[in-house]
Amino acid sequence: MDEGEPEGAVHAPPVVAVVVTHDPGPWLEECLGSIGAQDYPNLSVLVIDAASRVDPLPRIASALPDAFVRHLDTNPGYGAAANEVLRVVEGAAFYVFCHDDILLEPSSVRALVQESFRSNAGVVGPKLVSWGSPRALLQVGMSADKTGVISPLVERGELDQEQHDRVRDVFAVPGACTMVRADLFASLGGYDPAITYLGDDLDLCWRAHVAGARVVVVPAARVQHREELQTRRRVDDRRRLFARHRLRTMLVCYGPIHLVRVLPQAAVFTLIEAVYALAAGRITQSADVLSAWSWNARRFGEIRARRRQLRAVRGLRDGEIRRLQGRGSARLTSYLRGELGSGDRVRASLSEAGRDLAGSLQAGPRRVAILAVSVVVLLVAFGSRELIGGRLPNVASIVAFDRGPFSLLGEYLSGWRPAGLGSEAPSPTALALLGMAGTAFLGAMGLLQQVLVLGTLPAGLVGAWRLTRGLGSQRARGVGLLVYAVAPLPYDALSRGRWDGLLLYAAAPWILARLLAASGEEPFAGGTRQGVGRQVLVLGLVVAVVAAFVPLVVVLVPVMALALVLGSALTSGGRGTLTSLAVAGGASALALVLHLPWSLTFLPTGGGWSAMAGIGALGGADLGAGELLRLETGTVGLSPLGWAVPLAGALALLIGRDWRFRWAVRSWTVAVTCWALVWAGGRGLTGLPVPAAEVLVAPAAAALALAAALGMVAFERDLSGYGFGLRQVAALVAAGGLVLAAVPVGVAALDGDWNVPESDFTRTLAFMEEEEVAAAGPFRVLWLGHPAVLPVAGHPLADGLAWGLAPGGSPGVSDRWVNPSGPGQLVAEALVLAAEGRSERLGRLLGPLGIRYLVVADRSAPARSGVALRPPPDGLAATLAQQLDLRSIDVDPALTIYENAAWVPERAVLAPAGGADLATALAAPEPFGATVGLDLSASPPALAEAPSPTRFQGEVAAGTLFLAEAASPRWELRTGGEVAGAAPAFGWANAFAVAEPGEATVRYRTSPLRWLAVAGQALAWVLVVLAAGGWGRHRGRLHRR
Amino acid sequence: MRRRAGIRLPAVVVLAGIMAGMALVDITDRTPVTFGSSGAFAMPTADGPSSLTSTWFCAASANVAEGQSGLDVLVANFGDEARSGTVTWMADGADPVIRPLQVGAHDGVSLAADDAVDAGAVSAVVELDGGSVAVEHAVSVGAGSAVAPCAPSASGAWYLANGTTARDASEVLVLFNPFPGDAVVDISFSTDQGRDEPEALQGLPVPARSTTRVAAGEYVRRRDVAAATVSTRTGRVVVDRLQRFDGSEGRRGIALALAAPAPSPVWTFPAGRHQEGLAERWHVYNPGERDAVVIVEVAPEEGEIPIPVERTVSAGAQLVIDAAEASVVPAGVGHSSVVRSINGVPVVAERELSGVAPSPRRGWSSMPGSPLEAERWLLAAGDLGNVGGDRVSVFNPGPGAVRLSVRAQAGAREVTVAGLEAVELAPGSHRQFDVGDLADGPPRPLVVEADGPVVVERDLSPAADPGISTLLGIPLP
Repeated sequence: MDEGEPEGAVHAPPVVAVVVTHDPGPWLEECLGSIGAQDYPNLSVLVIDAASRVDPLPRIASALPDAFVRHLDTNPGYGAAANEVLRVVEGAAFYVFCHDDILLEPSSVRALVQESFRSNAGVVGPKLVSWGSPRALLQVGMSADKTGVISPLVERGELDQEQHDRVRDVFAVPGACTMVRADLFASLGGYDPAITYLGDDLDLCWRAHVAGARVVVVPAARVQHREELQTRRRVDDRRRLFARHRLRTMLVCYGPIHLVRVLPQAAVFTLIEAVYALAAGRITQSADVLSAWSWNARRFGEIRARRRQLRAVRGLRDGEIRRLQGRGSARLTSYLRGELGSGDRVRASLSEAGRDLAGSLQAGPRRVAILAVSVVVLLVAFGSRELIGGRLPNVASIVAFDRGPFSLLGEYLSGWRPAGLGSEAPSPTALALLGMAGTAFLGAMGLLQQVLVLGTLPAGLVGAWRLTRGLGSQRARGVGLLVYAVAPLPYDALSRGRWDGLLLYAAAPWILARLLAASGEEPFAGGTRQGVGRQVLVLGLVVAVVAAFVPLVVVLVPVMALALVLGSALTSGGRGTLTSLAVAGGASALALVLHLPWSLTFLPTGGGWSAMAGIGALGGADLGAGELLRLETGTVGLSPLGWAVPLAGALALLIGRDWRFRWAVRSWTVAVTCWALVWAGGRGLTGLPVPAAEVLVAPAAAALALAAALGMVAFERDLSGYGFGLRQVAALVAAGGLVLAAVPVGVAALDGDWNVPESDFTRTLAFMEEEEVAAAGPFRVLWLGHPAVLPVAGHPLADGLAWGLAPGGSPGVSDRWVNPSGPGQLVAEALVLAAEGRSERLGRLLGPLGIRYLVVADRSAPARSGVALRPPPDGLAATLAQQLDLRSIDVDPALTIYENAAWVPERAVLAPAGGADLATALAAPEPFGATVGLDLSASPPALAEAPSPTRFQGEVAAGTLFLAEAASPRWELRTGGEVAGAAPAFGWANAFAVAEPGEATVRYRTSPLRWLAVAGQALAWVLVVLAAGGWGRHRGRLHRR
Repeated sequence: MRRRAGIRLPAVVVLAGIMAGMALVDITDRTPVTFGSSGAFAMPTADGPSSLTSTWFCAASANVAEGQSGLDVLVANFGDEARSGTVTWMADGADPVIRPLQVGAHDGVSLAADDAVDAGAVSAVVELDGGSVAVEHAVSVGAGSAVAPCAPSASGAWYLANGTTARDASEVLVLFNPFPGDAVVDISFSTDQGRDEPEALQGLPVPARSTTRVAAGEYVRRRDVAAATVSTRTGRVVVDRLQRFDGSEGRRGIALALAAPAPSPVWTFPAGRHQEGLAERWHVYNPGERDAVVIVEVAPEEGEIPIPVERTVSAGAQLVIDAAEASVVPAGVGHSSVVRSINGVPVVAERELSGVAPSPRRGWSSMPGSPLEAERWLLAAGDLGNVGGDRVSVFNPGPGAVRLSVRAQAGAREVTVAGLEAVELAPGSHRQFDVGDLADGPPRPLVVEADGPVVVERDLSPAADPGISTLLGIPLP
């Protein structure tokens, strides 16, 4: 021990504080001073300067004369710079790695060392608090999920009341101040030199875990942190760096088995985030998260080397490390908190945002905007309070997400569509999208349904806010947002169970915004920075995502663009809208390509128009012109005050000049076109079925919101140019009307559920899922009713009457898409035979189709829920009552349920009554002639287990095994190691000859062509996502840099 | 600026014009949509050859004695293909008995319930694997027999314009529910003493696949006329009326009729006659809620066409018009008649023939008229045993003459009855043919085919036994 060393230094293990600095700010002296003031007796300080432009040596010498200084000629990044300690220091027991913008309290190092010994920890970190506000917590250790997404353990900015002051194991400690056991640091090879900034702490701690070391946070050590990294970097590449380094760490740290498990999930999360970001217009974010994969792919060799290095010191298995990680997905949590994509920035600029907010409140126009935003947020949140977190009733097209993500993905991949009577047809892309989303939600399908249904409201409102971005007026944006929010349309869609309408409400302003941008005309010329091709890609991707659920959007978008062109014609100009039309057409074509081969079902040879647009007038028939103008499609917000909405939108037509007037006319043309389509379609004047009124009215609402915003701009800029007269009066009326327009929806919000029915048919139909009923064998349910009330995808049968099939019990999400192929039309043929009085044995006709129950709905929800009555056409009840094998069951006044006394389980060993000639009937090419005289109701069920829609297994008796799925040679039966193919039955189904009773399996063999199709479709989506995100261009820019 | 002002007006006018147009031409009245039939049918008709199945419901049996129903089902196939199917005999308190059934092309078969089931009250469901088939049923007791068509469909409402619970009569309404679900019915009567809705007959259950027999006399006693409405609250039924006479008032025998499933503004009766001892009466029942003004038009075989008799039938009431008392046609002159509602209120009409000594025809028959006209009619019932008369009456209600032929379904082929080919029938006239004398061989189902719309009735009243049995033919597609 040297003279002058503090007492006790000889007993204290040597600690080296390693301060890495680069272009330090004025805080450096304070930082070094705080290190020098540590009460730890055996502390040395090494300052590593990473090529600062101004040599900090004099400042260091002045602040901490005893410090050692090492100067680097280049800046290799924080980790690589810190690793210099391994070359220049020997004999240290601990290293304390410090940023140059921290302030240690005097006992911090002592506390860290003491706890390291006490806990036998390899890595310890302090409690980080805000510089200058030591009561404001920043971090007390960090958690991370399986994909390396970190999540803080305390609320940022939370008041420190010592509530987190206990030593605890954490997955990582923040890198601002980290103490590492020197031997551990050396065995790990120090920081990963490839991780320049951000993520180095996670990487080090994860590897420490792998080596078997504990990572502990010690709140007794308190360190203030300025977080000044961003101010010293010229580009904001935090998100990109985080994504890259997170993936690199995962690739290095996981063993092969866990890597195989976790990597695909990480890929799915990335894809979802990229698509979401793209849909939200955050193209760079999309590129950032995608580029992480290519960045790591290029460093595959390095990663392999580091994996080998880590394997040499591995002390813990991945399974044990996984237990240290957070459960679920931190990314999802982040998403649900609305932080996705902006979380990093938010963290960095929280104080800035606070200043902005304060400034906004002081600025007049912003005050109006913020007021509008606040009102809208409150309105929607307050009005939806009973729905948020609760169970959404399954009404009309809002159906339960009753299947897990892998089940949906399995159906998508299988090449077999079980809907209807099944067919070898491509499945809707939506099943894949929902499956991936369900995976991202960790299988929480109920939550996913909530997000996809209720999330449409904020999504639409954010879109409306974005739609008016180019107007350059905060007031106008507020007005546009308010108009879109007080339109009764989305709330009516919720109450009527029109998910398709809600989706269009969410998508319409985004789509309209892209069309405006594509025009390149003032004031939306921002879009011209993108080429037409890029615009087609971006809009095409948006349209494709929406079309997965509402296919009609591929027609609707060009119609909107065409309306813009017509509007331009009315104002003698606007060639830019022709570009919008071209972009819209290209985008729709691209969307159709992205949905291949499913989109082939839209051809006349498939389901045709009804597969795309729906099966009947779903509500337009009883909407008058006035209701359409007021955007009222249901019972929510009904009031004459609703006229204020179009009134507000009309102001720009009266007082607007130049582009305000031109765009107002175009907006109104879009709105009028949509209204006219609903109006004409509902009255049968279009000659084609039209979808739910909300689907077509949503673009009108977006256009009206834009027109209202334009009115506000005109008020600001044009009104003063007129002499006093009617225009001023109109402006006042419009302004007053806008306030009044909020009243009806505000009143409707009081209930908190937007009149969504309190109950659905789930409980009514619960008897179908009772054990006694289910034991009789698998069955189908035939739904009949007005297209607006059917909870399944329907096929038209007559004007105002549709039918749809669902598996036993309540319909689910996969029953939402119609299957136009296969033998499903047999159902319609049987119904027509009965309706024409050509058979009183409808039960026998439907029995071999596995149809056990016929449910006639005249409402979309139970009668007590008060939903509107939409009875089926006259004669249906009489037709069904006339059948000799249908027995009526009283359940709910809204439903008439018949049980088919002649039904045959979907999988059964056929047992004809009276010794009828079964072989002849099975071989008959025409199903009904063969089965109408055949009583098969005594056929026992077989193959009770159904692990998937394409695989059934269980006991089977000897005889003819009947499978009520569309005939296909790809169905095969396996019994006792033998495989038998299917023979056609009744001209449409499958039959297998079973010689010996026993265990058997029937499965559908997916065609190799299907795998090719899936691969092709996935490749197309990835390419389009990458191209739309400008990935190639982005990579080139990085390369040049 | 000036240019913009010039653009503003037309642009606003165009947009406003479209919206105003939508508002002004707001078409809200739309034609009600139907799918299938309402279930109500005018009268029994046969399905065409393209039909997948034919189903006929025969409700009543004679209930002769315990274990003896006296019910025969008469199946006629006037198509070119043989039909097969089943007949299901449904006896009270017993499981249905299903028997296979084969009917050759252009042939008929008769099935006796007593051969299949040992029960007194039996109903039958006949199901065949195609169209071109019609079914009638006959009930026989010692004191005579009667024939009526079976019903090709059940209905939610049935109407009978006649019926009697007089001292010498017993009236039974036979309610047959062939479906797997229970039915609940309300029965009301309109008698010569007013309207009656017996409490016991409101909400009357008719269990699934069973027959309920309602003795009208227990609820409306000693009524000369008892019209009835049977309406269902749930389910559907088939209704027959079985009427018996004990001879104490001179009338003997049994009468059978299928109730009318729907009111109609026109009812046609191809034949009719009154004479000493034989009364002819038209019974008009108005089950609706508006008064009906009806006329009875008579077309006699000879003499001038009389002025129609006009009467008003109050809502919910029934009315009897006696042919003799109304003096619309002289006694002994054969005629056809039409009961027509001239104010559009549909009614139900039956024609009663009631014979006592000294008339050679003794018995009672009441049959609904035909609300339809057709070019082809089937007469399914053939030999009932000891048949003494088998007369076919054809009425041409149209404005032009028609030519008609009568063809017997002679087993695998049709044979034109000698002398009944291309017979001309003047407009508004009727003719009666005694086919029992004309047809070769045993009686067969007959098809009457004309080149214009006609209405056909058959009189199967046996000469020796008591009772009068008349029934309309079954229109063919």
